[in-house]
Amino acid sequence: MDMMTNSSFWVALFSLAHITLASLGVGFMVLAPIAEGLGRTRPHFTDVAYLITRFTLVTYTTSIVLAVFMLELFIGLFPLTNSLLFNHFRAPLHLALVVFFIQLLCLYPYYHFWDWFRSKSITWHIVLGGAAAALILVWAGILDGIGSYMLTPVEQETGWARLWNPTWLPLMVHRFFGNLVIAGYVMAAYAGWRLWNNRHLGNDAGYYLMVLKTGMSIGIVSLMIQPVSGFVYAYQIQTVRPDVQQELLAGGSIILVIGQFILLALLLLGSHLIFRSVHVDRGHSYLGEGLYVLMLCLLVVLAPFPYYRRLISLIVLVQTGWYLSYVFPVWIRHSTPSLNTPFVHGSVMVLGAASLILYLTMGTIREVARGPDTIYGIIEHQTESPERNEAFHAP
Amino acid sequence: MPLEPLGISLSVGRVAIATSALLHSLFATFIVGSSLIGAVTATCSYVTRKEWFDRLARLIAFSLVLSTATISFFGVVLVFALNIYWPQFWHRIFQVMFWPFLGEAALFLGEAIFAYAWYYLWEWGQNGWRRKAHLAFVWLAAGCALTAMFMIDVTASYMLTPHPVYSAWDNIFNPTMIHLDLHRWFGNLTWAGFALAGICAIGYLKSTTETDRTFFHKGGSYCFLIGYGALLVMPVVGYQYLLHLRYGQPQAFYTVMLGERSWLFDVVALLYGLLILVGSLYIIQMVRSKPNPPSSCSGFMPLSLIVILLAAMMLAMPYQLQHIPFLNRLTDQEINPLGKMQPYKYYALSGLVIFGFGNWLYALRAFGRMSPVSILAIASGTPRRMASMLMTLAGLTVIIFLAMGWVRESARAVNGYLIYDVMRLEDEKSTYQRSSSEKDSSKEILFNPFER
Repeated sequence: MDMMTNSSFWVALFSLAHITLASLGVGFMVLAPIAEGLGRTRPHFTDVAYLITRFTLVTYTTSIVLAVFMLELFIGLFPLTNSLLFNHFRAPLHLALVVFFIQLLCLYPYYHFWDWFRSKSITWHIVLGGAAAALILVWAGILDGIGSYMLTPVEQETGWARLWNPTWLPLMVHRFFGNLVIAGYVMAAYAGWRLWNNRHLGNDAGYYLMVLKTGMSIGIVSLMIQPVSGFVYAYQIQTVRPDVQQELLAGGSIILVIGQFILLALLLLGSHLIFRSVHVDRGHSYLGEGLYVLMLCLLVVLAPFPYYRRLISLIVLVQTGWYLSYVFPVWIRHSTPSLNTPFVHGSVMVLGAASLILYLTMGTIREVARGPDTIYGIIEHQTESPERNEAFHAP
Repeated sequence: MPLEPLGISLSVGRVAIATSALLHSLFATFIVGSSLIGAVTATCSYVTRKEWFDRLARLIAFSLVLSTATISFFGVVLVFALNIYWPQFWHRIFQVMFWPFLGEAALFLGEAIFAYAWYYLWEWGQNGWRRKAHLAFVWLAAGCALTAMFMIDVTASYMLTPHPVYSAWDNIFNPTMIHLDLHRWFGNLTWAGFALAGICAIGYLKSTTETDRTFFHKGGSYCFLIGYGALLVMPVVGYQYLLHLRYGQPQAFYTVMLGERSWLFDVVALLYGLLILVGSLYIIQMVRSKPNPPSSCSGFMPLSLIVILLAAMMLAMPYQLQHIPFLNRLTDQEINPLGKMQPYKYYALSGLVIFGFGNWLYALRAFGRMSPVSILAIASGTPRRMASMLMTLAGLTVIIFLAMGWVRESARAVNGYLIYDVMRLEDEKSTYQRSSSEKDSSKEILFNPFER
């Protein structure tokens, strides 16, 4: 590895570590007030809201410090790119900081004064959690604007105008549902892990089965939106930077693209097996399921051929939707003791890990797509070379 | 590389950086001090199994978690502000101090992880081997916080005394590095001790049960003792720090002690005297509120109070009257002989430290005899006065902390330096406005972070 690849590796490593926690945090922050709202009629959901907020709080600072670490590496190893981005987006970044501060003021009391607030007004407590969620989405949106600018920069006078680059909105939507995908699957994985150790749980098994079902529902529904939002995003990139896709599919990064579809297929297949364990009168057909597995295989095999892959994706989407239309009513309305098996517990844990790896793979693809530039068409990777940068030579 | 000029005054950038840096360091230092106090308290709880130690440790853990979250946000603000307002300085210092900065971030990550584990795994760590593991969390958090502070002190001291300018290890162990670090050790204990005592005081005033009142009263006294004890060490370490600054960067030393910003040092001296004075008043209340106070106290306490009052006044006396803002409208006198460091301020400092230490010993004795019965027997009104004093001490500590930070930064900035002998404020001007020669040719400024 040359020095610049080395630099990219370290920045990417901490970036991915930060994104893992931050994206989960964003997903959970969005879900918490919704779950608390549902908890008015189904008290279990209030516990879910508390559980996922606790996770967010516990990982919150770690996630921020990982971001600072990544930023410091970026400042030291990519000073040109860093300077340009902060200079060109200074106005949106000021707003981002204000928004982040208010978000902090909402999130911490939301968790640490949970009972006190709820004893005064549940509605206002939900509003507080909702405000934290809305504000973190504004923060994430501004950062997405900078991230998307790096791939599809526009020549504009102000930072606000630069945020409105062609891939900003598609990226925001794609990431929003991506956050929900991992939040759902990780929630289910946590429940699976707790059920796996169920000898200590006793009466809590029912609660964790509900968490598992909720997580799986959020995960699969969001996952079904992803191919559509992903297509819009890829289409925008293709329109503005036609060479990006060709380079991705021609170079060594093809492995990442295939890996992404292997993980997607694994998630869909694993989810299908779990939904299949719920007994329904209709929907099971060996022919149909064989066809589904075949389509998933084709999805992977045809990954390097976007046109055919998109066609297959559409078929898989219709198949999944068709099957879920049978399963979901039973899944939601009835108790599902058939889910309390070691196979299901193990499967959801694997799916949780797969969803995270998929998320990180997709993020990596976006970063690789810019190569050999750090900001497409503006700064080349090699202009940050170690020969010029003393940070490489510091003790 | 072309960048857009910010198109604002350089002062706006200075205010933005100063505000974010001071806010960040206010919480950062609290974390360092409180993690250390928390570790000691948790150890006392582990050894003695006294319930109030455990409760106090948990209170400290909660403060630590909240301040860790706050500081991580202010850290982001500071990094953003430096990137936006002082990019040239930021990249220069970052290239020189790349590894200390990374080390600091990594250690802060460790502090956050261990502090969070300490607080959020409280129930988990109550029995068996887990008690030891739980105790280890806070010591690891404190260790990470202290080492992270060391890393930042490397950078902060280098900015003032970079001798020699470009030599890696000498940059790290520059003339004021160790002294700044030591000064901050005790400074952080003072700040965190008084701040936690202030939190206990608020808890006392808000508590509705006798159990709570007893706990907060005792907790406040405990934290006060730590803060006050560390405060007494500060002049000794501070003297060493200034001595090395004098030899390492005479111009900066002169600015702070006799020059344009000497009035700021007088403000710090005034605040120090006030801290010792209010602390002594608290100790008098503390000692007198206990049954059977020692007989020597009736003679020593009034004498000590008089000496401390006089010494505080003498310490705050300015020498260079001409540098005090607006004073020239009242008097033409330029020098006040009574404000000289040698011998008057040394006498004053000695008086404050020696008699303050005597008071501290009395306070220590009174604390050792503190029991729930003795606390509840205190006449009504006294604990409230004591709580007010603790809150006053916490408030004064915030002000002295900010003033001391301002003194150190002034020592560079007044002489036009961002990094002494390496980078001037002037060098950052191009970030804000285009030079007149560039105005017609381009709307952008040229910036090369690799340029030295």
